[in-house]
Amino acid sequence: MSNNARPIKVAIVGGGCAAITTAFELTRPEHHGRYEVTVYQLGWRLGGKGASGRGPADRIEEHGLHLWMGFYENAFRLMRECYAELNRDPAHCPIADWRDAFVPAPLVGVADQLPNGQWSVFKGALPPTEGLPGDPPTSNQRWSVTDYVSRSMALLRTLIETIQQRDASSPEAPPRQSPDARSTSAVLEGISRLLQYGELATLAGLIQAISLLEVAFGSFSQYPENIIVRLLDAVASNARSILESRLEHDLGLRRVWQIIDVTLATLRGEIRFGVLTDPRGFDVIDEYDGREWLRLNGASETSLNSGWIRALYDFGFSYENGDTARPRISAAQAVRSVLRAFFTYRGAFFWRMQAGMGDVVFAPLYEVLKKRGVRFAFFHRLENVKLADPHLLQSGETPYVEALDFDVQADVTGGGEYQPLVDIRGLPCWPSRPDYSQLVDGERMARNGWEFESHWDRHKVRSKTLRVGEDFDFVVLGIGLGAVPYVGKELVARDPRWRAMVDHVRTVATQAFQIWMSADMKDLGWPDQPIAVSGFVEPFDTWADMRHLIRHETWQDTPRSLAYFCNVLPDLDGTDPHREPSYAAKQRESVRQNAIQFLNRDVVQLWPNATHLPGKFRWDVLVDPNGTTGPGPVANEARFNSQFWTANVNPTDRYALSLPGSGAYRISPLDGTYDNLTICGDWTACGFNAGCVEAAVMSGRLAAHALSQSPPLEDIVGYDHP
Amino acid sequence: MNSHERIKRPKLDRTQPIRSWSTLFTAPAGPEATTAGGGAAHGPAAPSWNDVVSRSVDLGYRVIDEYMRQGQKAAQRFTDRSYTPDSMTSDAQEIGTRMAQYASDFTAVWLEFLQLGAGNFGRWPTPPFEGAAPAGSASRSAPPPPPSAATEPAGTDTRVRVAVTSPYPTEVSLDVRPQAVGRRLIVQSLRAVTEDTPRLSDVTIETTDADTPLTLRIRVPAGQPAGVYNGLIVEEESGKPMGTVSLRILPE
Repeated sequence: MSNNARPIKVAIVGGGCAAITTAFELTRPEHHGRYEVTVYQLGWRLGGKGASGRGPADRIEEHGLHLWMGFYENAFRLMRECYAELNRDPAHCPIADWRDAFVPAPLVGVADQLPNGQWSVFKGALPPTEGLPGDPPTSNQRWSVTDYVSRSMALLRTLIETIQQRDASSPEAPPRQSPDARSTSAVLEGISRLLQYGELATLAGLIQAISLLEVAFGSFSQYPENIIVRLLDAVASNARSILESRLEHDLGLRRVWQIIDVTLATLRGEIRFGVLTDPRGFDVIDEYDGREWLRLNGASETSLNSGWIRALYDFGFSYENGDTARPRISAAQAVRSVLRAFFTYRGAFFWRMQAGMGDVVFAPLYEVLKKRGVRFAFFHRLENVKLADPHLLQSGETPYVEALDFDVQADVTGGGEYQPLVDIRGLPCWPSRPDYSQLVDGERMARNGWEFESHWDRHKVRSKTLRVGEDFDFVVLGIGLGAVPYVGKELVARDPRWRAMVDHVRTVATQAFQIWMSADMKDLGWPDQPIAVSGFVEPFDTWADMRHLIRHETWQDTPRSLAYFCNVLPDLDGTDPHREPSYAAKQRESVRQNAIQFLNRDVVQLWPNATHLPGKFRWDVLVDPNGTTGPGPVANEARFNSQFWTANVNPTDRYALSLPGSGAYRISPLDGTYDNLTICGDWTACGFNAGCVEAAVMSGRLAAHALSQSPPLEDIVGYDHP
Repeated sequence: MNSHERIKRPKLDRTQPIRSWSTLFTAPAGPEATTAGGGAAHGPAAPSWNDVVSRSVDLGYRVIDEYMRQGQKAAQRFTDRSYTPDSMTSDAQEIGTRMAQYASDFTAVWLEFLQLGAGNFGRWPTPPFEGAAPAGSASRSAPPPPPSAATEPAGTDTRVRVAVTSPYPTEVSLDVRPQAVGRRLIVQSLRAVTEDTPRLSDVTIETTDADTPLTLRIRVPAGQPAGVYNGLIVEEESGKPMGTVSLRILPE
């Protein structure tokens, strides 16, 4: 980079997790003001797909359901640093520390359909683990496939031991020898003996076999691969024959068996497909769909259609074009996600935010960045990224961004900066609507219903062009992938890899709704603690009990329960969304209808007392923030209109999928095709190619590294990972 | 604007993650080799001739070691006057089984070695850390196909046809050395590791010339117990091992 005394001007376009992370990194005190950052944001709030707002009764209205996972090391580290720097006074702010903001949520649920057609939720509390997410990495942390394999073996042994403990008829497992005490030849002899003498026909024999495999995988190179595969096969076939006859009548056992079956298939596949040895790590199986790959490695159809596997797809919105009949996820990312989620979480498997994501994440980040001197240009809609004329480039000069064209959606009265936050009982929050009083001609905008976040609302008050060298030196493109074809036409046209990326890395629309109810969960028939359940029936396969948020809202008639639901949203057939002005409204109506149908027809499977007649939801339990509560003349489906629902169909709101074979088409924030441009978002090649907060934060850190060489890549936890 | 005035991005040491197999052929990295972030401090060791060679040599020595160990064990028993006809039979069975296994393992590694030697780098793309192609233009060689249950190609130059007649589901693993092509081969009866299990004797292998695939035929009779059956492929004239056959009969 050229030596230059003046600050380097960085224009960050977008205000989601990735973009804000980049701003956070570039403005760290260690840079001594080297980077002068301005964030250009559509509409009135930061957050992107993580944006939330406060609506009537100060209720939290989310883009969707957000749970933080215990392996989100980079994301938690960001928030811990943010809260520490913010140094809020707990006497005046209800969420002053990161531990106020995030609370462990160990209870998870997976829904399964029984042979009689009913749905049953398997609930489990994953145990707390050492440390907290975002703690400094432990010295023994190694991201290797071998390490994951040995953890998988330990899981297998535990599961079979669990079954054995339930089974009084099974002989006791022989005491396990310390793996370290076994020599290679002793292990080989042990394996040979197990294969010879039929000892695998008992649970005790299986446990012994797994103990040997644990040792063998621990120093994989010292053992012939086909001996290990053969023993794995023998374990699988024997386990199946021991347990199969009991599975039909024992639902608990069947669920344990499904984990064993899938784990064995994964282990077998890791050997057969060379994952342990290939320098591409799990990317070697990126071309395969997750289910397809497990099937190739011997997983049974029952296991492949189990709630566990459906939850894996549901959690990642992994349905091509939003079609739930087309579940597809890269086997590479699926395996990577599962291993990270189950084997590397710290503290708790899930963490719940204690207010809206905007309140807990983006308001504190906004406040810290403001203190650091970051400028925020709200109401700026990017229209075009303009490249320098290729004919004017000098020989060998890399193409670069010459200008950024914006539509300015509104001017701020007095010419100052828009103040976006509102105070809700001491907590800075984002509102669901802009504060029109701060805008020039704001009253007219409100009256005419300007929708600043809508792709289809093209209102503007003027245009603005930023020029390289004057208004910016570097550009960080932090918008959603779905918007790239619209605003990055020149980027896509100039470089075939950009073309391939927008063609192959696909996105999907999502839908979500939230209902506030006067009945508590026990009244509705759900007796358990708050839970997140996935793998449920379409059109809303994921539900989270969010009752803990009610106390942060301001209700006259305080609801006693709060439920969030979400899923993918299919694109409308035969419609080009870009050319259909009413597209968003049509999709929003689809979501409303889906939600009503779901509440009438399906939710009773989760909450047995939620209907008063078959197919008739108890609409009277919905709490209207502006009107009647309880029974009455409008206690029918129309009551749903008082609740919150959303169709996330704006291009920049669409969720980036991890389709099989798409990983290679992603472009990294470290890519240097355009000299003064970097990208960030969970759609980039950021090491963890999945749509989630962690991927976004990793990407944002990579973008900062691309511009400043900081943070070091080795500090981006999980970037160097198989 | 004048491009000389334009501030340029810094040059980066690397642009892709290290996803490599750092602990496979070497001891696990010690604390000094890892960074605070848990990643490798340096680029990974690329798969190389040396890795495969060392693994081959390692396995080769293991075969030799095993022969020596078994010989010492037998000598010890003679010295101890503990060698009964029963124990001799048992040892012979054990040695045979293990040798067949090691021969099979060694063949597989040896073929891997040959693939590298022949320049077949499809499984080993350019390491991502040095001189890497920009993301997206990187090699997208197809992942290695899973070993087929029906046929197990023995190498790039050896074509094999497998025909199994069986009332039960089966899986076949086959390792054949390339120079077996064109030679007169026989397959020993496939036997289970337990002595009392009947052997599979209806096993033939046909080879005519280098242009015709080897054909392995196995017939499994009704009533054959489930399990794994192994046999050696040998050259009829010299008796030299030319490969191994492993058949797994799955439970119904």
